[in-house]
Amino acid sequence: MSIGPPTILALKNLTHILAIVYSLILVGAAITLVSCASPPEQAPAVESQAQIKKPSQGHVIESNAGGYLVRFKPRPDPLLVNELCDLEVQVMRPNGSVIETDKVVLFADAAMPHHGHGMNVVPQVTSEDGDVFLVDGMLFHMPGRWELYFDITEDDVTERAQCVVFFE
Amino acid sequence: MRCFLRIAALVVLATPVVVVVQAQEDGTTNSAPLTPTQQTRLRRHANLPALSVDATNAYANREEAVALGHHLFFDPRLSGSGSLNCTSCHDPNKAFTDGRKLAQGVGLINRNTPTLLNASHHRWFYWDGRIDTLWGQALEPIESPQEMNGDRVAVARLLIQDKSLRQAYEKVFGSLPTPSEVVEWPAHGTPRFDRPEERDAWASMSAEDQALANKIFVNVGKAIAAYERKLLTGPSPFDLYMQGLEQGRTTLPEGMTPAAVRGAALFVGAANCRMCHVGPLLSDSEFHSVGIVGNDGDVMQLPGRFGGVQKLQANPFRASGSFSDDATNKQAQLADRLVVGPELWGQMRTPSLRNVALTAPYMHNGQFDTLEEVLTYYSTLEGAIFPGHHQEAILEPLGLTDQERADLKAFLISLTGTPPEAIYLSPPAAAEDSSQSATSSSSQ
Ligand code: HEC
Ligand code: HEC
Repeated sequence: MSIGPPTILALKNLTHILAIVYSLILVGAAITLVSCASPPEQAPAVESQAQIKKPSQGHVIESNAGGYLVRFKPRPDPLLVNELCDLEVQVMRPNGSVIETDKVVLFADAAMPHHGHGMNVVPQVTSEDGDVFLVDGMLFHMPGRWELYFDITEDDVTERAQCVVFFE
Repeated sequence: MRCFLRIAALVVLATPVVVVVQAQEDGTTNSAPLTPTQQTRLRRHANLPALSVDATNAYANREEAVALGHHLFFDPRLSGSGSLNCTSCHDPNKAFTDGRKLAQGVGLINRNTPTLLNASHHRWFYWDGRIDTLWGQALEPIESPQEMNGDRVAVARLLIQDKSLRQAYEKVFGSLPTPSEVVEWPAHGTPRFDRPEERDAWASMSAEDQALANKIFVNVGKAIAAYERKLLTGPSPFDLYMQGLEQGRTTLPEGMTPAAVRGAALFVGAANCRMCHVGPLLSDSEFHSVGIVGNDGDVMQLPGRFGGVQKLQANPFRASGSFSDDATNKQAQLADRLVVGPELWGQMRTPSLRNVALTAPYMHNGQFDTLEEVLTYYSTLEGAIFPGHHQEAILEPLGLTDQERADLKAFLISLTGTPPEAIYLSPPAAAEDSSQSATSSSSQ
């Protein structure tokens, strides 16, 4: 099996799972990304609506209360277990329009809830240019099921977007 | 979650193809099939990659630095008594360990001596990861009163005064002061809190002299680290087996037994060892508690990673410190961003399992004499004490059968690689000469 790119799968939308899982197996993905939010085919739709240039590809997830879409692209892509990595992140309105980085505060974290621990490092969030956050220094040090969290704070209200990242 | 389980089930359904290894004429039969999942997982443990660049040490790959470090590693004049060197505990004939439960230097040290083979691949050094540079690590045993009880002023003087060391140093790091320029220096000195006399002497030195002594001392560490980067082992039978599988070969290379293949499958399967012993080092280079406590069984005496993080962040020789050649690289920043919490109490760095058959006894306190004992422990977790209620819910008694323990042991044995280049396993001829000439002429 070759090591393929990560695949993002929706949890809400169970009907799309089968086809995607099969394509995942075919490429022999090293890592499976399992989103807990928006269906995957929403990603290209969002892209065309908002004409986003960066992150060029990436995964889009919906925040838990539906207030935001979060698009993230790992660097390097695919993510590797126990290798330092960064994420390029854009926060968007539900209609796909990108929110400037100075309008919201972004906090990123990850944990393995089944094992009762998080990452051993605190990543730093900076803003690269007007509308892209850079989450610097993520370290998924163990294989298994991780949850990735993006907390978006706007006007003192925080909403979380989250997804499952599975490291085989 | 429901969905996730379905995915897992599908993966299993979709991977019915099993690599069945054929019987061979010589009777080496590998009856243990590896599933594609096991193979994918095992691939992640095979074949150490090339050593990555150490940006914090600009001399890490300079051959002249290696040569100097090689001398220094074997040179007892770095110690206070002139009788101990790095090999006193990291003996090249014992896979760079000492074969003892606990290390013995000037005093008894309450830690088992880890191997230096492939140690340069780690992210953090020591059982508690209290330093993140290989060169910064090398400076600690020299000055530790329990280990070599030397000091940086004496070391700097040695480099300045010994002709051949001086030459070797200047080739790499540039010119040293002449012996007459340092006549005013005290014989011994270090700012360490646990060396009160030398600390007073250090305080009497001018800031410039202190800076100069620090610089020479740090360069000694950088040279030793360059040498340590040569202490790499070559492919193990397990690596060769995995390379063979990649090329569609199913024969077992010498040293790889059917039991070892079954053990490998267990390691990444039911025994779940790969949770922590992951990657080509068979270590995540991160920290966990597997329930081993200090020799006196006192959890309170075992800060582990909790203490390690505090020491790391206070260590002037850390990757992000002022002696680092690149204090801003990613690895350097990690140390300043560590999560510190009570769950770190008692955690130790996962040891690499490469060459583990050569490095008994085992665990940070040398508690187990044999691999069998280690595997029996993982099987029963008898006597395990987890320092807090925050411990990771990963370990549970595995209840391994005799056969399974034997298989895991066979796998661990198959992780022994070929030794480093022979020239690095004995003292360089010139070092022996110069250390002899110096022992007779040294005035302590
Ligand atoms: C008195 C015995 C002793 C001497 C002498 C000694 N060491 Fe060690 N070394 C140890 C022990 C014990 C540890 C583990 C200590 C701990 O983790 O708290 C260790 C750890 C290390 C490590 C970390 C390895 C890892 O996997 O993290 C390196 C590297 C190392 N020593 C290099 C050296 C060098 C270089 C010298 C000579 C300058 C030296 N040691 C001298 C006993 C010794
Ligand atoms: C939760 C993480 C974790 C898991 C799972 C784990 N280990 Fe370990 N292992 C460690 C740590 C940490 C140590 C060092 C513990 C100490 O000294 O306190 C260790 C030590 C060892 C040692 C001793 C090595 C030495 O040089 O002293 C061996 C051998 C070993 N483990 C093998 C295994 C095997 C085989 C399995 C699966 C049955 C396994 N480990 C599962 C983390 C883990």
